[in-house]
Parts: sequence; structure tokens; C-alpha cells
Amino acid sequence: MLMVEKSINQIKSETFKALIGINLSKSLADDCSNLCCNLAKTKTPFLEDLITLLEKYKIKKINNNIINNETSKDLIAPFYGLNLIEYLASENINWSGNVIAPNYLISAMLIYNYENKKNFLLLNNKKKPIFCVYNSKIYLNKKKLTANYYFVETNLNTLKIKKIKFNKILYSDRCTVKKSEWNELLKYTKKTYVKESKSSKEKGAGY
Amino acid sequence: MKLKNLGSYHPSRLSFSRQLIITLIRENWVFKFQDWKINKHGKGYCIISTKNKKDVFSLIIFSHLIKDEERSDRVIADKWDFTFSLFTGTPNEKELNHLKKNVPLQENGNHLKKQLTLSRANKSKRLFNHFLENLSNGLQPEFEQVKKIGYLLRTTAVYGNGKFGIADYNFKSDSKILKNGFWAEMLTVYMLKIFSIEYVNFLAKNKSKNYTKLNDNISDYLGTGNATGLGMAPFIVNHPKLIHKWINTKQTLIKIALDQKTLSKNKLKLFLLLLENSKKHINQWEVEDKKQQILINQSRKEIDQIINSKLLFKILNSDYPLKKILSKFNRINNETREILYSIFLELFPKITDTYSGKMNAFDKVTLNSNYSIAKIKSLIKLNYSWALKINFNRSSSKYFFWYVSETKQEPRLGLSKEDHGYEKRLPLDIAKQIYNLNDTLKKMPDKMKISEFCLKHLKFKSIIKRILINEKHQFSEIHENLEDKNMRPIDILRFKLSFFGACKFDPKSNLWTRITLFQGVPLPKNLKENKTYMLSFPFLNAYG
Repeated sequence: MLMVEKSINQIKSETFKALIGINLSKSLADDCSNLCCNLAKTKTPFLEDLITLLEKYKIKKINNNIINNETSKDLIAPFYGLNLIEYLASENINWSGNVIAPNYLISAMLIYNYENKKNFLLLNNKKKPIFCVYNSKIYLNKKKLTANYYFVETNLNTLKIKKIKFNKILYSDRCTVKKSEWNELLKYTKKTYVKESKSSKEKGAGY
Repeated sequence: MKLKNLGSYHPSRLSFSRQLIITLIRENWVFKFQDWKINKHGKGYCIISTKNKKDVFSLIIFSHLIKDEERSDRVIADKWDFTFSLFTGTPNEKELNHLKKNVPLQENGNHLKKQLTLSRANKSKRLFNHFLENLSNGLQPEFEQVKKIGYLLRTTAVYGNGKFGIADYNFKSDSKILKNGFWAEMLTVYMLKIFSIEYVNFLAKNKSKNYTKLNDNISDYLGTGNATGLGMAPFIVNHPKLIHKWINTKQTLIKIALDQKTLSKNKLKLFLLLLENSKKHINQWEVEDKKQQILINQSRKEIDQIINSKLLFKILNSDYPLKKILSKFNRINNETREILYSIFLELFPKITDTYSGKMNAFDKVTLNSNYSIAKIKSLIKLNYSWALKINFNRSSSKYFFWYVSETKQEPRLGLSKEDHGYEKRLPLDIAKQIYNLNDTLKKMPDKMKISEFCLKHLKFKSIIKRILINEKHQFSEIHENLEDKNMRPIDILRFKLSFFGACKFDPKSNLWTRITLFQGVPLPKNLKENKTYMLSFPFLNAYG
């Protein structure tokens, strides 16, 4: 399997453009590309999930389905994960639901913790802790999580996290991705480009 | 924050290239031609290294022989006279081989994490040939030619910060060059200036036994040219906090200068010297663009008026002299005012230099606020009245749209009614987004929190984030509709370039400009810390 090394700037710009390429709003594309960058920096898989979603939503209109548990719709974490975490943090409430691409939810919690010092705990469907960010330290059960039912807690009970073994958060300045996946991403990126008109071309720099 | 004002900015001591040079002097950076594998025809490569006690960087330059008709300053070009990259440390053999294969390919190459920049340049054909001809005949180039163009090589793109796979900025680094935005790019451009002089001397030497070396006066004067297009404009809109930082720092320093009760004798002398230098500088600044030339001519007159004013000495010896200068000469145009600001910053080097390395800013990713809809409405009313006043029903208000071109993935400007691709436009329509948000907020309950609002109206999150940034960063927004028929992108470019330290703005249309960097900045051997004030208004001393 051929792997290629990418800079964080490339991850940010190319994922952002790909998301705009499927007509996602700038706000959502910005959020999602930031989540991608954070996953890239922590060497957590992100591209496969993203490409699956790009493929799925390239023609289908994306519905707003963030916190509406009653409708039992899935939370598409790459698109809405950060919005959900921001909302939960501002209201100081917990949440549970089906999550697609849960790594992105983790990414959202990490970013929010980094910028706002708010702690989060993620539990699986058996209510077992699988991720926690606490005072800028991290516990992560495994790097690749699958779609499932999850619980997000924003009020961390110290007794509950007492037994958790935390590690330092390690950030990398590069990221290695599968070449085939990267090329797939670029197909969506290209959708944002516009063929220059002759007059625009002639008016540009250098003429 | 009107474009007209931003489009008058001048470089100053605060500019990145100026602060870089001051740091190179203070940290005793040494420059050396490490390797010179360029043949007598000018083809090959060379490595220039620079180091201080802690760090080493190398500029690896590949020199290509291209046909005149292949040379283009456009970003869409795919052949250049020179391609180069600034590298952390010194490349080993394997790395050098990799660079040889990939740097000439530019954006299509596979780049290493040790590469800090990726860039290309072309010869200023006319001036380069003139230099080569004269030097090989034992003559210095003609004064008028040197003065008119002022550089031998012109960069057509200088990429940094992770672009195309090179290294991302490392804001946590101990090295000032690595942690300060755009410093690695500026170092690249300064090292290219050093190379350009060595290169023309080398070719002249190989052409004739009667050759002479370019004299120091001209070598120190020559800068590196640059052709800049629209690529820079979206950056300014997309980094509101950073732009605030740049402007706010400059405004802070101007205020400090204006608040000085008196000027010492030395500062008074320096003020007069800089005023004279600015006069010499603008007298050598000639452009084809009629609008810009009118402004330059006006500035020449105004600087003359200040210099020849009988009141000047009296003002300078009175209390709050700099404030009084501005109030006495309150009818000067923006160009002249900005020249005066650059002088003010130069008068207080210690204070200005304390802001060196403090020009970075980081935009937060998350929305962390318990603000209500009512608060956002009041912020819009308070800080965005300029956007609400725009009549978006006029067709001229959506005359342009910004997009990314297919050819080279660079920002371009299209005509909404004529060009296709409007649906793929870049979201630089900040004023319109504010207008739409304001409209939507009218229907919302005042007490609703913005985190809840954003869940239901996801598309407005990014504009709400801007409003929150703007609340605490008053210079974060350009108060204009960037899709309006009367909008001039050139003003945005000039604003950004002035912070790089660019001078001799030479607009070629409303869309692109030529500029010069490091003009008047001596070669490393001639850099002196006690004379850095002489870098602010470069001019060519008469010779010949």
C-alpha cells in the first residue's frame, strides 16, 4: 500500500476544498477540515471516513440532525461533531446517540479542550470509558472507533475517571496517508475549481 | 479599514523583511556560498548557507536555461529561470538529489518536511542583459537603468507554511526565522538577492577577461523584484485576527510616537534625515500607472512643503512635535501620511523592535460564547453598520465574484454576469453574509444562545465567529463589499505587501502589481546595526 506524507496545511486546505466541493457550507467545511487537521496531528485515521461521507453526500442534501435524539438519526461527527460539542459545553449537558465516524467527535473534544480547557468523557454503548480528555491529558482506548451508540459527558465525576490512565497528548507536524485515498480526496477538491475565462486569464498577474 | 487607506500603506521598520535583517545582524548570521555548480552558460545549481550559533538554513537554487518566449511571470507558467527552496540545515546527498528532481517541478513536485519555502524567479531580462553586457566590458551599468528597475531577478511565487507539502510554520520553535510568519519567505528573497549579484558577476567573468565586478553601491541598492496577483487577497479576509494584530501594532507604535512630548536632538536630526531620504526615495519612484503616479507626484510636493516649511523647526522643538506635524500638515494625502508614519516608527527603534516576533495571531477553531442573539444583534449594529448600509439590490454590488482557478489553483476574480462558476465562488462576501445574518436574527428570540442558533442555522457559524473576533479586534474587517464593481484588489495586495517590507509599488492593473523587496538592504558583509534607519527609504546614490 503506497503511503504519502502531507503537511498539516495540505490536510486543511484540501479537505476544506473537498467539502466545499460537495456544497457543504463554509462553516461546516471549516469545522470538518479543522477536525481532520487535529486527527492528522494526532496520527489518528480520518481520511477513509471522510471519503465515505463525501461519496455519500455528493448528491444527497445533508440534513441538520445534530441533537434531535427523538428522530434517532445518526450524528455525522465529521460535519456536526464540533457544533455538538460547542453546544454541550455551553449548556454543560450530556448527550447520547448513534455516531458515524466517532474519531471526529474525539477530535472535536480535543480541540475544544485545547482552546477552552473543558473536559469531556466518551463512553461506548456499554457505558465503558473509551476516550477522555482531562486537564489537557488524554485517555484513548483505541485509535479507530466504529459507528455505534455513544455517550458524551461534560460534567466529569472525579471518581469515575480516577481509574483512567492518562497520557500526554502528542502532536505531530506531518501526516502519512494512503495515496489512493488522497487521490480520491483530490477528485472532490477539483470540483471547487473554475475554468478561467480568457479575459480573467489575461488580466491576471504578469501580463 | 477602508481599502483606500489600506492601499496607501508603506513599509516600515515593523515590516517583516526589516525585522528579519535586524535579527540577522544582531544574531550574527553568516552567509556563505556552500556549493557552486553553475556552468559558464548559467545552468546548474548552487547552495547558499546561512548560520548563527544555533541554526543553519540553506537556499538551494536551480538555474535553468529557458527561451525568452517561455518566460512568464504568471502563476500559470511552468518554466522559470530559477527554482529554489529554503532548507533547514544542509541537505545531504540523498536530499539534494530529491531536491534536484522536485524543486524544478514546483507545485507538482513531492516536497520534504525540511523545505521551508518553495519558490521561483525570472530574470528582469532587459536589466540583466544590460548588466551582463556592461560588466563583461569592464563597465558598471547605467545609473538610469539601475534606478528605473532596481532588481535583477523577480520572484513570481514564494510559497511557505506547508504549501504543497513543505514544512508548516513552527510557531513554538526557538528560532525567530521559523516561528515568525513570513520570515522564512523573506529570508529566501534576501538570499536570492545575494545570489543574483554573484550570478551576474560570475557570468560576466566567464564572458570576457575585461570584466569588472558590480560595485558595492549598486549591489547594496539592488533588491529582488516580485509580481503579485490576486492570490494574496483571500488570505487577508481569511485571517481577521492576524490582520488586526498587524494594524493594531502599527497603530500602537504611531500613538506612542505621537504621545512623545519632546524629541531629543538626535531624534530631531534623524527625523530631518529620514524626511530627506523619503524625498530622494519617492523622487526615484516612477510608475506607468497614471493614478499611482499622480499620488506619487502629490507626495513629492507635500514632502517638499514639509521640508521647506519655515515652521518645521519650531514645531519639532515644541511639545508633542509629531502630533503637531500631522495637525499642521493635515491636508496631505494618504501616501504622504503613511511615509510620515514610517518615519515615526523609525525614530523609536527600541520600542518598534520590541514588537518583532509578536506579529503572529491564531484564530480559534471553536465557538465558545454564551452570547445571546440580542448581543450579536447589538454587535452587528455597533461594528458592522458599514455592511448594513450597502444596497445589495444594485447589480454593481455583485459585479465580481472570487473563485479558485482550475489551472493553478490560485484565486481569481470573475465577472458575475459574464463568467461561469459563480456557484463555486469563494465566501469573501463578508458584508453580504452580515446582511443575511442580520435579517435572519430578526426572526429569532433575543434570549436564544448563539450555540443553539448555530445548531439550527449552521451556515452562519463562520460569520458569527468573525463578529466575535471583531468585538475584541477592531481592525479585523475590511469595511467594503469585496464583490462591488468599484473594489480594487490592488489595495489589499499593497496592504499585505507593505507588511512584508515591499516598496516601489508599481500597479500594472487593479489586479496585480510589481514591487521590490530588500532594495537598499546591503549585502551581508555591509550590514551594520547602527545604520538600520537607512533601510527605510532606499535610493540610489549618483555614480558614474
